[in-house]
Amino acid sequence: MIRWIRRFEGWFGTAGAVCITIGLYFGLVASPPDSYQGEVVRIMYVHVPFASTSMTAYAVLTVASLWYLWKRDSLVDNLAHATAGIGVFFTSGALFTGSVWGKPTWNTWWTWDARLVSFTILLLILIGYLMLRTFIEDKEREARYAAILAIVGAVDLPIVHFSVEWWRTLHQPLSISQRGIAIAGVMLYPLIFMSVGFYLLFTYMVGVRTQMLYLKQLLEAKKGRLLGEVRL
Amino acid sequence: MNFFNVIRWLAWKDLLSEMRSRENISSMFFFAFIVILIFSFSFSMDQKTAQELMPGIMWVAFIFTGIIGLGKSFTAELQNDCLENLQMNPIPRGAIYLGKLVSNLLFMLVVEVILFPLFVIFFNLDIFEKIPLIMLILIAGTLGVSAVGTLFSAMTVQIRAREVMLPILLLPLIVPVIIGAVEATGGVLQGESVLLYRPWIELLIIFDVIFTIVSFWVFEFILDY
Amino acid sequence: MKGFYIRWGALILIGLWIVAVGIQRYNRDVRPLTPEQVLKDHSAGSVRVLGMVEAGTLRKDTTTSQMLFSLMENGQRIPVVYQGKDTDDLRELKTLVVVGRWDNASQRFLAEDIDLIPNYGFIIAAYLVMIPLALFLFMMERRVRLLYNEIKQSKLYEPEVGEFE
Repeated sequence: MIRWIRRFEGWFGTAGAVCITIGLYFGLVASPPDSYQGEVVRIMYVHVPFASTSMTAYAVLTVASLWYLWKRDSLVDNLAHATAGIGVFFTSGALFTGSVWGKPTWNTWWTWDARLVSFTILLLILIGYLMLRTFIEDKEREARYAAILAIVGAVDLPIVHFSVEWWRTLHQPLSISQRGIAIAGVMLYPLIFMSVGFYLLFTYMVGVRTQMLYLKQLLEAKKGRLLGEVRL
Repeated sequence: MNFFNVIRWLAWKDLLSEMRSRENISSMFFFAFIVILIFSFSFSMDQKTAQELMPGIMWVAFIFTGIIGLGKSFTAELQNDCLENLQMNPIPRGAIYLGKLVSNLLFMLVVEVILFPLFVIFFNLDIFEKIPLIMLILIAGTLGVSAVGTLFSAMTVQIRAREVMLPILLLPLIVPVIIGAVEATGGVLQGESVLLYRPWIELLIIFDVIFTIVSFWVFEFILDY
Repeated sequence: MKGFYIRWGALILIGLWIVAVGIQRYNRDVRPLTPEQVLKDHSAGSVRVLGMVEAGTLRKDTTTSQMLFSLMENGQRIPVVYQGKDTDDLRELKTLVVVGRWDNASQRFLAEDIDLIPNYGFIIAAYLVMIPLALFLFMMERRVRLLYNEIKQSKLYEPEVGEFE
């Protein structure tokens, strides 16, 4: 399976880089500013891809965890670990860019609405996942426990989103809606290019990181065995 | 061995050891009491604000206490290879989970039932006809915390830094329980109409059902044997 | 390893090109001048000027139904005639950007449009997130290449060496 990753990752990486370059050009140079938000709408071109990639990352993590518990394939476990690490990156990036977008647009750095809270909980679950992996010494147990955490978290996240949304409508019927932008045709181009580019880039990054973890494990395992042979 | 007998036997084992030493419940009780005191000193509240904030303070105290209790319930099994011995018995794995769940739930409920009158006294609450509802909310909320907490406590008890990993893993996942329990308790105590707080109780019950089932299924992957 | 560094060098160059083009566009379309510069330069084309509407100077010309006000920044002021459509943004003591031309004949600034202050700092802060991303990816790829080299060198996989060619 790792041969497949090696063969195809280059395509994903290059395609991702090309799409992102085109997207950046369109986003920063060739597209007009929004009539209500002005120039700041350009942040949307980097925020939306980050957010959707982070949600994809968690979805991939859940699927990989289920697969691991079913088939016990260690490469799938490496895939899950890789996705979690990269997911942390994209989720914190999404939260950061979202906050930076919120200040000039709605004059708040942060608000406790359902999507922001869900993303924060997602980030906390991912960080907990990585911490759990660091603290367990036995590799096989580490993989199992991490998979369980990912699955329980996946069941929990929709409930979190739902309950916070409910809670918000009760207490603060605000009219702030992060999706309240009618996206004009011209602005669709950079958004699509950036989104597609980031998905491709995400696939590439997961491939690279999976290889890194797999090879590290391999090296440790083989060296350990070699050392054992020399000793004996 | 019969499934329900196993659960009963496991819960009874924990209760018996607790009744003999009473160390867990007393430490949980005093910890919760201190948390409540600290909250009362941290915020300078007038009567009305205190009554509004009280459900939040109460549930924060209960949840932190619960985390201590959950941690202790499995660390007791670490000594003398109790955990391995438990797994070597030909009992269904899910029964171990449910037995532990019942004992954790009972411990937390006992602490909460002892503490709630203190809350009534400190905050001058009017609870005359509301006690059954409050009990229902306490049970539903505590069950939610225990369901996920027993699973994660079994996971984290065998790793380094176990005291800190349990809260880190558990607290993000029980956010719906916190929101639901606080809103429901607040609604009941403020005397609001049933329609306002009933959805929260339903949310708690749905959460409990979903997570007890999910944890029950998943528990066998935690045990090594 | 050489191909790796060449590829990343190309990526950095492309990134720098995008930054350059972005700055160019910013200077062309977004960056505003001050009233002082407008008075000095007297350029003929359409420019953007940043300033504050001076208190007490905003009035409506009843004959031509245009808004007249004085735009001030750093002590320098220019008289502005606003010919565009009605907008809520035009208030006294508000800092804004007027888009238009300087009319030398009447020594006034003819404005067609009113814009809000451009806040490019936020945009730059948001896009800076891509730099740690690139750094992260760079470190990972480098680590993977080094790992492959190390495995090949330590000859742990002689029978299976075909896998790593």
